[in-house]
Amino acid sequence: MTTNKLLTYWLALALIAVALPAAAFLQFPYDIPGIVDWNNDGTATGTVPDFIGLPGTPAAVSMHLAAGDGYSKMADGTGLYIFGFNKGSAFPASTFMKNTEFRAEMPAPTISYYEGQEFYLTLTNVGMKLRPDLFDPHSVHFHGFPQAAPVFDGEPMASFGIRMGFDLTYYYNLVEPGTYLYHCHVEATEHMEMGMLGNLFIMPRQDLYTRKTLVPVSGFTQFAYNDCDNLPPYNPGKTDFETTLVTLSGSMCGSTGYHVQKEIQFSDFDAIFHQKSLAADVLPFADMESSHYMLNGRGYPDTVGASVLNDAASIGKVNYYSQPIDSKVTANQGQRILLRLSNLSIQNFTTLEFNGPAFKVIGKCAKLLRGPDGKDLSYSANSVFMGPGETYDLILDTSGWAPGTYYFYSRNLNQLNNDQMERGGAMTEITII
Amino acid sequence: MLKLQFMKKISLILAAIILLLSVGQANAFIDGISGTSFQFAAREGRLSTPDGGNLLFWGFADTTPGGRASVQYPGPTLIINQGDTVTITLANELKEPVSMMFPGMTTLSSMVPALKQGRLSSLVPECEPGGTQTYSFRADKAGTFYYQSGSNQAIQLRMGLFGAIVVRPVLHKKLAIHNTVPFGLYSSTNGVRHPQVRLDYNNPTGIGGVAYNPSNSSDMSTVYDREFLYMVSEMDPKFQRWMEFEQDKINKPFDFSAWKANYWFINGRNAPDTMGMPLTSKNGVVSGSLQLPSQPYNCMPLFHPGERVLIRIINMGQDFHPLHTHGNHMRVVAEDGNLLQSSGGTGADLSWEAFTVTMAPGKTFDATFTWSGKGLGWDIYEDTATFRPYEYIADHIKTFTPFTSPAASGLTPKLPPQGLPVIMPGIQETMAGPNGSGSPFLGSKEALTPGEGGFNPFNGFFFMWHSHAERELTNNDIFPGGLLTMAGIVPWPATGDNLTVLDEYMP
Ligand SMILES: [Cu+2]
Ligand SMILES: [Cu+2]
Repeated sequence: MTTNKLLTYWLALALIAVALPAAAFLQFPYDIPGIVDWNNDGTATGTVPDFIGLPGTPAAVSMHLAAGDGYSKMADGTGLYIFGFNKGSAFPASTFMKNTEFRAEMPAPTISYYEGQEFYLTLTNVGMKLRPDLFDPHSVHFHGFPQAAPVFDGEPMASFGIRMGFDLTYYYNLVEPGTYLYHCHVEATEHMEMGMLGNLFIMPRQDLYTRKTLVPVSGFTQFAYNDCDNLPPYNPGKTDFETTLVTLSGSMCGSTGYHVQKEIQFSDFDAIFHQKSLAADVLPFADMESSHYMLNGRGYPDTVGASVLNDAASIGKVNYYSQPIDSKVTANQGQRILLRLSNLSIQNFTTLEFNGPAFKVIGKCAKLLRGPDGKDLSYSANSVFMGPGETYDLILDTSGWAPGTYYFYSRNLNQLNNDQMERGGAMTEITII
Repeated sequence: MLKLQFMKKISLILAAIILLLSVGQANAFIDGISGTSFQFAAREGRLSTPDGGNLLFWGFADTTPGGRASVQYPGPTLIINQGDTVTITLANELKEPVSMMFPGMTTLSSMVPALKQGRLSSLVPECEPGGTQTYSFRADKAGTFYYQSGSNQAIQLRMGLFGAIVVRPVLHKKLAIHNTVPFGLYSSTNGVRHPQVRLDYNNPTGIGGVAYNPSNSSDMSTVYDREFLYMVSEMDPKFQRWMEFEQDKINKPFDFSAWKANYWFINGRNAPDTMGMPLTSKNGVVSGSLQLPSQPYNCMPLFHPGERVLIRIINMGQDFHPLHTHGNHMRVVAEDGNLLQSSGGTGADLSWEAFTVTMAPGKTFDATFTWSGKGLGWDIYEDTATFRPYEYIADHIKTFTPFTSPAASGLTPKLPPQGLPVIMPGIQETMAGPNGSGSPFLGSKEALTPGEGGFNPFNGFFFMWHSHAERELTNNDIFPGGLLTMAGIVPWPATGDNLTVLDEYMP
């Protein structure tokens, strides 16, 4: 670091120190329920009522993310500088910065709630510890959110990003279940290549309905989508369903039921781009070529291994797990598996192939594959082709499958490497016991 | 890294948009040429890129008497009627033979391929340099199609010899079904419920259309209020320069395995030029984007809440492109000019919804898009009195009481009840873009940091519609740019909600 850069660094830190007290505007800084006036009666009781009377399912939920930088470890041992998000919900404002800076995770923490809940997402820009010359804002783009408004869309041309040292809160009324994804939209090409990507899915109200009625549908209590025809809506106060007496039915009722679910996000890194970013060099957009292909931020065999512990002790970070999400799936023979797939590469299409019996593609882009008149548009397949920014939902029915280890992997042969290391890349294991 | 140069550029372009909007030149229908008999010329041209560069291209020019007469990228959009027989006489001003073919059309002129020295030269009869050749086809089906050269396609399609074809169905504007739309949870100023979707199709004073012949009077699957073209292509500047300066296939051949796109276009322009004004020519008077003489088509979807927009998507490039619409899902109702129906008479019952549609090379999609803000959980108009057209009733006049953090304040209300569920950060804490209004509410304006915003004259909601292969958001190494445009939700006029009132931005 040059003297000049160091000076900028300390100036940046000073700015953060001054800025933090202004963060008292935080409305939902912790995962502590109790500070939301969810039914608009003008009072907050200190406890968010349980959503539709189900214990442990608050009507409003919150998460606090930090946006900053970090260091990842690829499956071939290469360390790559990253930008990313990490969860800071457990830290009060006074120590938030200290505990969250330089701990970016790839992918970002998974966001997963129920249809009907209200979600407050606070984002604090904790700055770039290894790039003190950068003053980039950050944002969260809730990709695919239906009927969005620019203020919470995170797309900086139409709205804004949050500057270093400050925070903002996004609000989402989670009205549509399905598999989405999220990412930073500021300087999108650069920030997304650098790793500001995450899984996001909303579970359907049919799950809560079966929990409420204690009547499973075809033996299932968890579903990818609301697949029954007569599922009642919530009542206006969301204290219950409009009716809880009906027996769920319909030609596709239960077709999206599952026992085990796993989110799997495809992405890739161009190692040279990351090295140039760390060196504050000119960024090579034109010459970008991916070198490391990943599922949930890891190349095989790390995809099925333990959490990637970064040797960040040398930079003063202990217990820094830069890539905490594995892609391993384990199920008992006969169980149904829901895979929530997404592609957040910024340049590569992928075809993910499965070496077992056919699976069913039941959803695309957070929509049940169903025509406008209710016609079943789901289909069986052994592979799924997925473009950047697309999501798919697969159901694997393991009835009659021989126990063993099955593989789910990119059929694009150039995506089965961790740079020069063969037998790697975008691949994971599905173990049937 | 912020590229101030781009912001400067975008300022210029958006200034042009404001001019455009103030003179009301954004049309409800796609810009193009109509008729059954055309004269085209194939010739060389130069196109401009927003990074200050320019590239050689080969394109078609409409040399029909009264036409624009100059070469353009892409070629003129043909807007024709189903059942029409169209004749095009092509004059070749290039140094190699060219031709025209019309996938999806019923070709009436010869389909005998052209051979030269025993090798295939063109998929259809071609036009020698300096000569002319006449092509004719019948448009039997309504839909979204394209034409392109059938000669030496690996070179000529990379050079730009293609254009869009829109075939209007027989029943375009002929079925009176406007009044049969079921009412939804949307209201108007006077409390009368409006349909969830505007569907102004064949309203006697309305502006809408239909993409495919409705199967019956209640089939509204491809009815729309406004339509926009999304013709996508890309270029590798190395190849364009080789064509311009080398073209030496023997001594200095181009390495096609190293072809790599670094410019991406919508309707022949890179962002932010996509959002500039179109180049229009009426009665010999040319106006609009004079700085882009060979790129006449812009891509600036503007529409009101509740209106249904038809997006005609065509990929004329060689790469896949994933088109992502911020704001809402699209519903794909047709592919390659075929309505997605299980049998005749069902309407688009096999249509599907997507927030990202992968455009494969040579494919066309028709997709509908509607935005009303339904279910956001807060009142996007933040007002207390009247309903706006297509406003979602359940969110009307909702307010929230902001609190500080429990540890700091013991749950003291921070501010009086407000319309937004959260407290906005201060303007010094954010970095806003050119299309913001400073207000989270539709039709409202609030202070922005000096130098920000300013390109949202109607205080609308803007949504980026772009390639989600985000490397394509660059112009030859410079971010942002490329395959990107901003779709704008323009609030309905504040007074009254007469559906036939055309506001100043969108006739
Ligand atoms: Cu996105
Ligand atoms: Cu986007």
